[in-house]
Amino acid sequence: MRKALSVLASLIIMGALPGRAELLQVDLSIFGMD
Amino acid sequence: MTCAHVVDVALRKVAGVESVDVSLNKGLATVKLKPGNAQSVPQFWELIHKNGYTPKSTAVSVRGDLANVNGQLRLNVSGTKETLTLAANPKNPTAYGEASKKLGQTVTVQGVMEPGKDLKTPVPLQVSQVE
Repeated sequence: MRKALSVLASLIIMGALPGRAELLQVDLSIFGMD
Repeated sequence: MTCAHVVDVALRKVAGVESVDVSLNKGLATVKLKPGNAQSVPQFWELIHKNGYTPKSTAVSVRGDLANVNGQLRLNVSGTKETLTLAANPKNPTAYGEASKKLGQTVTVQGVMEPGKDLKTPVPLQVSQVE
Protein backbone atom coordinates (compact mmCIF):
# COMPACT_ATOMS: atom_id res chain seq x y z
CA MET A 1 0.00 0.00 0.00
CA ARG A 2 2.78 2.39 0.99
CA LYS A 3 4.71 1.48 -2.17
CA ALA A 4 1.64 2.07 -4.32
CA LEU A 5 1.16 5.50 -2.77
CA SER A 6 4.83 6.28 -3.34
CA VAL A 7 4.55 5.37 -7.04
CA LEU A 8 1.38 7.44 -7.36
CA ALA A 9 3.06 10.44 -5.74
CA SER A 10 6.03 10.10 -8.09
CA LEU A 11 3.75 10.07 -11.12
CA ILE A 12 1.97 13.20 -9.90
CA ILE A 13 5.26 14.99 -9.31
CA MET A 14 6.55 13.96 -12.75
CA GLY A 15 3.43 15.42 -14.32
CA ALA A 16 3.97 18.70 -12.50
CA LEU A 17 7.60 19.13 -13.48
CA PRO A 18 8.31 22.31 -15.45
CA GLY A 19 10.17 20.27 -18.07
CA ARG A 20 6.92 18.80 -19.30
CA ALA A 21 6.40 19.91 -22.86
CA GLU A 22 3.79 20.17 -25.51
CA LEU A 23 2.52 22.09 -28.48
CA LEU A 24 1.96 25.72 -27.55
CA GLN A 25 0.58 27.17 -30.75
CA VAL A 26 0.03 26.23 -34.39
CA ASP A 27 -0.70 28.65 -37.25
CA LEU A 28 -2.37 26.54 -39.91
CA SER A 29 -2.37 27.85 -43.48
CA ILE A 30 -5.43 26.46 -45.20
CA PHE A 31 -5.94 26.32 -48.94
CA GLY A 32 -9.39 26.83 -50.36
CA MET A 33 -10.95 28.65 -47.43
CA ASP A 34 -13.45 31.35 -48.34
CA MET B 1 -22.69 29.07 -42.07
CA THR B 2 -19.35 30.18 -43.58
CA CYS B 3 -16.57 27.77 -44.40
CA ALA B 4 -14.35 29.50 -41.87
CA HIS B 5 -16.96 28.90 -39.19
CA VAL B 6 -17.00 25.16 -39.92
CA VAL B 7 -13.24 24.97 -39.45
CA ASP B 8 -13.43 27.17 -36.34
CA VAL B 9 -16.03 24.89 -34.71
CA ALA B 10 -14.10 21.72 -35.60
CA LEU B 11 -10.85 23.06 -34.11
CA ARG B 12 -12.56 24.19 -30.91
CA LYS B 13 -13.83 20.65 -30.31
CA VAL B 14 -10.27 19.29 -30.14
CA ALA B 15 -9.19 18.37 -26.60
CA GLY B 16 -6.58 20.74 -25.19
CA VAL B 17 -7.40 23.67 -27.46
CA GLU B 18 -7.51 26.97 -25.60
CA SER B 19 -8.47 29.38 -28.38
CA VAL B 20 -9.02 29.48 -32.13
CA ASP B 21 -8.79 32.45 -34.46
CA VAL B 22 -9.67 31.87 -38.11
CA SER B 23 -8.83 34.62 -40.59
CA LEU B 24 -10.73 34.58 -43.87
CA ASN B 25 -8.41 37.03 -45.61
CA LYS B 26 -5.20 35.25 -44.67
CA GLY B 27 -6.52 31.68 -44.99
CA LEU B 28 -4.98 31.13 -41.59
CA ALA B 29 -6.19 29.40 -38.44
CA THR B 30 -4.27 30.19 -35.26
CA VAL B 31 -4.73 27.62 -32.51
CA LYS B 32 -3.44 28.14 -28.98
CA LEU B 33 -3.21 25.07 -26.78
CA LYS B 34 -3.58 24.48 -23.07
CA PRO B 35 -0.68 23.23 -20.94
CA GLY B 36 -0.57 19.44 -20.78
CA ASN B 37 -2.32 18.91 -24.09
CA ALA B 38 -1.54 15.76 -26.09
CA GLN B 39 -2.06 17.06 -29.62
CA SER B 40 0.24 16.83 -32.61
CA VAL B 41 0.43 18.87 -35.81
CA PRO B 42 -0.59 15.95 -38.11
CA GLN B 43 -3.78 15.57 -36.07
CA PHE B 44 -4.72 19.16 -36.96
CA TRP B 45 -3.86 18.56 -40.60
CA GLU B 46 -6.15 15.54 -40.73
CA LEU B 47 -8.95 17.54 -39.13
CA ILE B 48 -8.59 20.30 -41.73
CA HIS B 49 -8.57 17.67 -44.49
CA LYS B 50 -11.71 15.97 -43.12
CA ASN B 51 -13.49 19.31 -43.35
CA GLY B 52 -12.72 19.58 -47.05
CA TYR B 53 -9.64 21.82 -47.04
CA THR B 54 -5.97 21.41 -47.76
CA PRO B 55 -3.54 22.16 -44.94
CA LYS B 56 -0.41 24.00 -46.04
CA SER B 57 2.71 25.31 -44.37
CA THR B 58 2.23 25.42 -40.60
CA ALA B 59 4.09 27.66 -38.15
CA VAL B 60 4.59 25.74 -34.92
CA SER B 61 5.62 26.70 -31.41
CA VAL B 62 6.47 23.65 -29.31
CA ARG B 63 8.21 23.02 -26.01
CA GLY B 64 10.28 19.93 -25.39
CA ASP B 65 13.63 18.36 -24.54
CA LEU B 66 16.42 18.51 -27.12
CA ALA B 67 18.23 15.25 -27.80
CA ASN B 68 20.71 13.85 -30.31
CA VAL B 69 19.61 10.49 -31.71
CA ASN B 70 22.09 8.90 -34.12
CA GLY B 71 23.42 12.30 -35.08
CA GLN B 72 19.94 13.66 -35.67
CA LEU B 73 18.63 16.54 -33.56
CA ARG B 74 15.26 15.69 -32.04
CA LEU B 75 12.73 17.29 -29.77
CA ASN B 76 11.03 14.93 -27.35
CA VAL B 77 7.54 16.23 -26.84
CA SER B 78 6.16 14.83 -23.63
CA GLY B 79 2.42 14.83 -23.26
CA THR B 80 2.46 12.91 -26.53
CA LYS B 81 4.59 9.97 -27.68
CA GLU B 82 5.82 12.25 -30.42
CA THR B 83 9.44 12.89 -31.21
CA LEU B 84 9.95 15.70 -33.69
CA THR B 85 12.94 15.57 -35.97
CA LEU B 86 14.49 19.01 -36.33
CA ALA B 87 15.91 20.34 -39.58
CA ALA B 88 17.60 23.54 -40.69
CA ASN B 89 15.31 26.28 -41.95
CA PRO B 90 16.64 27.79 -45.22
CA LYS B 91 15.40 31.21 -44.06
CA ASN B 92 17.39 31.01 -40.82
CA PRO B 93 20.02 28.22 -41.01
CA THR B 94 21.86 29.42 -37.88
CA ALA B 95 18.90 28.55 -35.64
CA TYR B 96 19.54 24.82 -36.09
CA GLY B 97 23.13 25.31 -34.95
CA GLU B 98 21.92 27.19 -31.89
CA ALA B 99 19.57 24.32 -31.07
CA SER B 100 22.38 21.76 -31.29
CA LYS B 101 24.21 23.66 -28.52
CA LYS B 102 21.30 23.15 -26.14
CA LEU B 103 21.17 19.35 -26.04
CA GLY B 104 19.51 18.02 -22.90
CA GLN B 105 17.77 21.30 -22.23
CA THR B 106 14.06 22.02 -22.22
CA VAL B 107 13.47 24.66 -24.87
CA THR B 108 10.72 26.31 -26.87
CA VAL B 109 11.26 25.82 -30.59
CA GLN B 110 9.52 27.88 -33.23
CA GLY B 111 9.58 26.58 -36.75
CA VAL B 112 7.70 25.48 -39.83
CA MET B 113 6.24 22.11 -40.80
CA GLU B 114 5.18 21.32 -44.36
CA PRO B 115 2.56 18.58 -44.72
CA GLY B 116 3.52 15.70 -47.00
CA LYS B 117 1.15 13.92 -49.39
CA ASP B 118 0.21 11.54 -46.60
CA LEU B 119 -0.74 13.79 -43.72
CA LYS B 120 0.17 11.11 -41.18
CA THR B 121 3.77 10.82 -42.34
CA PRO B 122 6.14 12.47 -39.87
CA VAL B 123 7.80 15.58 -41.27
CA PRO B 124 10.71 17.56 -39.81
CA LEU B 125 10.26 20.81 -37.95
CA GLN B 126 12.38 23.44 -39.71
CA VAL B 127 13.82 25.47 -36.87
CA SER B 128 13.37 29.24 -37.02
CA GLN B 129 14.09 30.11 -33.41
CA VAL B 130 15.10 28.41 -30.15
CA GLU B 131 14.52 29.91 -26.70
